[in-house]
Amino acid sequence: MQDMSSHGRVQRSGKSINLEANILSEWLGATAALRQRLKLRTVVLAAVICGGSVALPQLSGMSAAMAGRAARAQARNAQSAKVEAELDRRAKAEEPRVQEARMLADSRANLNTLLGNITLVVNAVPTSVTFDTVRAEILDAELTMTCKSQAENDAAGQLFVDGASKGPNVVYAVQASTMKSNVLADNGVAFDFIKRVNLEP
Amino acid sequence: MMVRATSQSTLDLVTRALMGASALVGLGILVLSARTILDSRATHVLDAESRELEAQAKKHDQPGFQTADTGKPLPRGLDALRTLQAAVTEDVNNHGCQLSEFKAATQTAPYTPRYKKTLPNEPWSQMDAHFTINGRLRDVMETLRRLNDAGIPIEVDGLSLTRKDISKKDGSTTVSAQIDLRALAQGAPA
Repeated sequence: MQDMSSHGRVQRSGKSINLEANILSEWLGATAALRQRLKLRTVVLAAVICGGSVALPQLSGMSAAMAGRAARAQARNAQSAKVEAELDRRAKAEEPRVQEARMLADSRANLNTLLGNITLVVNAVPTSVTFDTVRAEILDAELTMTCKSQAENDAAGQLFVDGASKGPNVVYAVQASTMKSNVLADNGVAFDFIKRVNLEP
Repeated sequence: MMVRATSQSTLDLVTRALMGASALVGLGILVLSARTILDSRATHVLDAESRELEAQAKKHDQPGFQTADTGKPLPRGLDALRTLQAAVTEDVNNHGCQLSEFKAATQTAPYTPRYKKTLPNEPWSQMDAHFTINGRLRDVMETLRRLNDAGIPIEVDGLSLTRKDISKKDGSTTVSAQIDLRALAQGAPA
């Protein structure tokens, strides 16, 4: 059945909606949330600024210290580079003298090696042996010594060979030839001794 | 309503200001951090360079860079042979030996080492010389040892000792020593 009067007018309902009050309440709620967010943001930003204000001077100090250290290192390197350049220049100027000194040292070492090897052979000659010639030749970093000798007998000759064969870097040492000789004694011998020494082992 | 609107706009303004300040602080931190890191790296690189330069400076101080002990440059070319001859003559006289001959080359040739199998990096020249000395074996050997003091780099190619006599007085052996050598001088042959 319709709610209307006998005149055909619709009867007014007793329920009503207060629109103004609803909008105000909604607006209040939204504003409160916005305020809350703004407050939080403000607090966070304030904390960031405070933290940054504390950190900035320290960071600035660190940065300045590091920049100072870098500047000092740069200055030290510039000084070292200057000294290095001067040393280089001097080293280049003295290079010929250095080479001469090296060659002179090599020359002395080579002569000492040669004379040492000859002395070793000559000193190995016992009283019952005499040498006629000792010849030393150097070729291709090898020293070859040939010794022509006379001995009173084979045993004396062997004694000499044993003694003369000693020494460092000997490649070989042999009694190359032996023949009878009566220069020192009736049963004497003449022999050749050959010894080769490596000079660049 | 008017009061609330004013309060909200103030809060908004404060927030904006704080955001600006925060951005400035953040930028400052960023710039300073970047500067610190870059300077730190630069310091490390420079420290490494320092160490390298110090090592090079030490290398220059090594004995390999010492020069000849005579203090004067060595004679070059045929002057080396003249110096050698003078030294040999003096040593022979000092040790009671006789210098029976001294032959020297008149030309220089490129240096060829006999005591080593490798050639030197720098150009050197050589000049042949040959001399014979007579005397007691010990004096001859001592005279030959004195070639080290001549101040000329030499290479002996051959040495021949021939027995001449054995003294009946003291048993000493008199020998004749023939020496073939090359005097060396720095620089390519002229």
